[in-house]
Amino acid sequence: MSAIPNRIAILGSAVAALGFFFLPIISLKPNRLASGVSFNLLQIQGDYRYILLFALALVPLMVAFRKDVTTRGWLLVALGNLLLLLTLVLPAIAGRNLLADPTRYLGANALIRNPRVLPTGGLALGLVGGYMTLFAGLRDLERSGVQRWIRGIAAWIGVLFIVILLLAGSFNVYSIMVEFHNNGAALEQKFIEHLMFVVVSLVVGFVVGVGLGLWASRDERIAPIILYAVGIIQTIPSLALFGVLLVPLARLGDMHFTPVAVFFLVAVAIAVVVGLGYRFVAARLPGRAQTAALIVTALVAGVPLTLFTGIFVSFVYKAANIGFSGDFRGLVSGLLWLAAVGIALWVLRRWLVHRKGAFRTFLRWAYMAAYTGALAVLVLLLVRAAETDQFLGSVQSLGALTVRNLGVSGIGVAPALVALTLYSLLPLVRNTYAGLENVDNAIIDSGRGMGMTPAEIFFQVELPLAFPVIMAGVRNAAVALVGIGTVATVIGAGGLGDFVIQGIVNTSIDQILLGAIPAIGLAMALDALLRFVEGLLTSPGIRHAQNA
Amino acid sequence: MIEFQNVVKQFPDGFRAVNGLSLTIHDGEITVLIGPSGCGKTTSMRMVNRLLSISDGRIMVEGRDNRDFPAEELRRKIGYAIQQVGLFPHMTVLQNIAVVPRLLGWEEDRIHKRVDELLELVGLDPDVNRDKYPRQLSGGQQQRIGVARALGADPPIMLMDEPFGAIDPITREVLQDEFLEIQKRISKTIIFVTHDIDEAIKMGDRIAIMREGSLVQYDTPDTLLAKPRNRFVRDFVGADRQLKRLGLLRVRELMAKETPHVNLRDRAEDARSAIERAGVKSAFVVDEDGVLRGWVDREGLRENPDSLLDAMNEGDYREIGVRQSATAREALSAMVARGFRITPVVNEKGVLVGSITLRALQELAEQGWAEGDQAT
Repeated sequence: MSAIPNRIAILGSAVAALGFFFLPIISLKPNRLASGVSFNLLQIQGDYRYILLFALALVPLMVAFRKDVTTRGWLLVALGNLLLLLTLVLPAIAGRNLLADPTRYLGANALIRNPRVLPTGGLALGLVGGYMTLFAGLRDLERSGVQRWIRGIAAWIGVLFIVILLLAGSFNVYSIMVEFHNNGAALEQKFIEHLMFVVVSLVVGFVVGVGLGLWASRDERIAPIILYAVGIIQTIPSLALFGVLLVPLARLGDMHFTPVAVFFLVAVAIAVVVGLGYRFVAARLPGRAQTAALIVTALVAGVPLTLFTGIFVSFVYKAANIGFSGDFRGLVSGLLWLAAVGIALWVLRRWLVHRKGAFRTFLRWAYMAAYTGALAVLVLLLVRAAETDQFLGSVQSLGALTVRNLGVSGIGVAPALVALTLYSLLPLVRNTYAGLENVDNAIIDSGRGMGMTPAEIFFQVELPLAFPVIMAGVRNAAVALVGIGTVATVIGAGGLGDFVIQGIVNTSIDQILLGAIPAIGLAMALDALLRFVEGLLTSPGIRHAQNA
Repeated sequence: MIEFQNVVKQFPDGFRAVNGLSLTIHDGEITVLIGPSGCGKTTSMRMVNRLLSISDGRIMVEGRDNRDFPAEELRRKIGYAIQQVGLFPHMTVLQNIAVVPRLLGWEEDRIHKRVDELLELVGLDPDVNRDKYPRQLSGGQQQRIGVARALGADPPIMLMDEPFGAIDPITREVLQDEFLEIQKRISKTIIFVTHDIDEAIKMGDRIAIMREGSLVQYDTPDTLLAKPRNRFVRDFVGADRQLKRLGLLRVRELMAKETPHVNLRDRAEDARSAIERAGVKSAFVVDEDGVLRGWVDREGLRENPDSLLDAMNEGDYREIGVRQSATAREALSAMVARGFRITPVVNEKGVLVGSITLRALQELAEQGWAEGDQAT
């Protein structure tokens, strides 16, 4: 097969080579704050083997003009992986040599404490060029029809080696790793804090957002109002939203729990009455009055419901935090275990869906066991939390119980959870609405015509068909929340934003990266996990149509 | 039996789609609802399984008002197939066909047996197609699955809304023929909505022509073509309605069973006397098995008075005869093409079973014209 030159490989090669040639590759720093001495790849004293890296960066340029696409693809994949690996490994070796005698390069006056090597522009461009070369090779392999799983291995093998070397400590000279080792325990805690408030607000946002999206798709009059409202929320700067929530949540925290609960019950009662009234009365009203009645109902029921959801979520978060304190690893491994069991059962079910009798019964029991287990973990948590003094503070009677005792306050996690939940709504509502609206009317009509109830149509037809679109919204929201979550540090919610803010205050890029890189990793991992779940749960009958 | 009794459908915007429709649909028949768009044919059909509510009047299904059943229960007893097919794209063929049986809580074994049976009925290999997804099937295959799905729980009644409307003409013909074959075996009570008069004539045991929400004429296709009640119906069925009508009649039903014929081994004199006895111009020639081999006329016998074999015109039965299962329209076409005034009728083996004359077909048509014009 003859082909045009692989232009991505040419570009990748050029990016890496120019980066290596013109930009410093590493910078030797005496400590976290002071700026260091930069080294070009070709300047590292007394050691000329680094020129090899420069030569390697030029090889894809020649390979790119080969006509045989398959060979070219394999060569480019190999070169890309090698370039990625060596761009990290060789400067680390160079750095270790430099660190052996830092005063020689930094001068005797430098304040040397935890000296480190900061990767700089040349190294970054080397990685970019390496990735481009790898990507170019994978494209060639795809064109020549190499199987998907083989390409998958080819794509990740370099990364695998990098991770192994990382775990083996080969990159410990890099500044980010130095920070990591100095702040390991704190990083783990902040990371889990971050994960917790992202996941909690995503779950709440999912329930609320999918609910609103469903409502919008069922009622064309309310749809523009809902979509407009969640759109508006998205335009509020996150910092402002945190600030705006500060006062009302502080006030709410001061209130006693009993009157709030009474208010909630009364409001829900009113909403039920108004809602029922709407069903019987509003249908006979002219269009505009109907919309008005709908909004009134929504507000009367929605505001206290929102309020109570907020209190409940804060409470569960607080209880879980106390219950799990010092036991995060247990929590994570427990959840992973449950997820694994769930996925295994699910795969098994898909497999056995056409099999008979005994297997089905077995599966039903297995499901029940798994979910009972999950519930038991939750109850255990609450009990453990309740055993500690922090659980409800020093409250002795229900009358003295304030909302703050349940975990709601002006600063801290409560406003972060509320704000993040609000931010997650737009992608969730919009995608749920779009996914449900896009289900072909003929499909729903034939479902109705065959005698499916509205619930059966929703769960067996609409939801499976809208599922990939809804999941795309969930992924969107998850990635966005990880990012916005870093801002939550300003209201004392903790999370990876703590490192970023400290880094900005100290003008320490190492600290910023210590917060930023795990955040990026978290976002990518959540996205990958959700994609995996999406792939498992999407019917093969619609999978490709959706991805196209 | 389905009975529309003064059924009215008025939409919230005031539009009366169906206006006092009364119609009795007989068991085991295909009843076609037809008319120009907006005539209320689909609306009427959708009221039967209550996809649309009835504004006034009532629809009796098997002797009971269809509002006596919960809507879902009613619909599960009535098969439903639509033009867009509406297969569930996330379900396999098996799961699609199994929808109603599963809703009814059938045992899995029974469902599987039923699905295979239905796939075979609609002419698809179960082993090949059971686990495919709709997007892996052609339009014609999808519609077959649509029909199979409608038949899923073996409902006594089926509603079909232009089921073959979105399919290319050639496949449509095939599907129509297949469905008629299936109907012969299953004898469902079917309401079939279409706007295509040719399809209506082909598929319908009875045709109800509707206009502006009312019934204009309800008759068998033959009567409808022979005696259109008014100008609207006449225009609707088309100027070639006599030809269409001939298309409904089978040669078997029209042919003269006694037709003058001679055997190959007969002498020329026997042939002459046979022709004279019958008072016709020609006779057909058959061999010892009765298979049509040609014909002989007075002129030929005059020129070759001694030998029947020399006097006769030889011809293959496939060329000069028509099958008894052919339509009158095909017989007419054959006569026009060959310039005959009479054509022999043969069975599948070529055995002469009768004949049909141009004159007989003409009389049939004239009769239709006269009746149709009187009715105007």
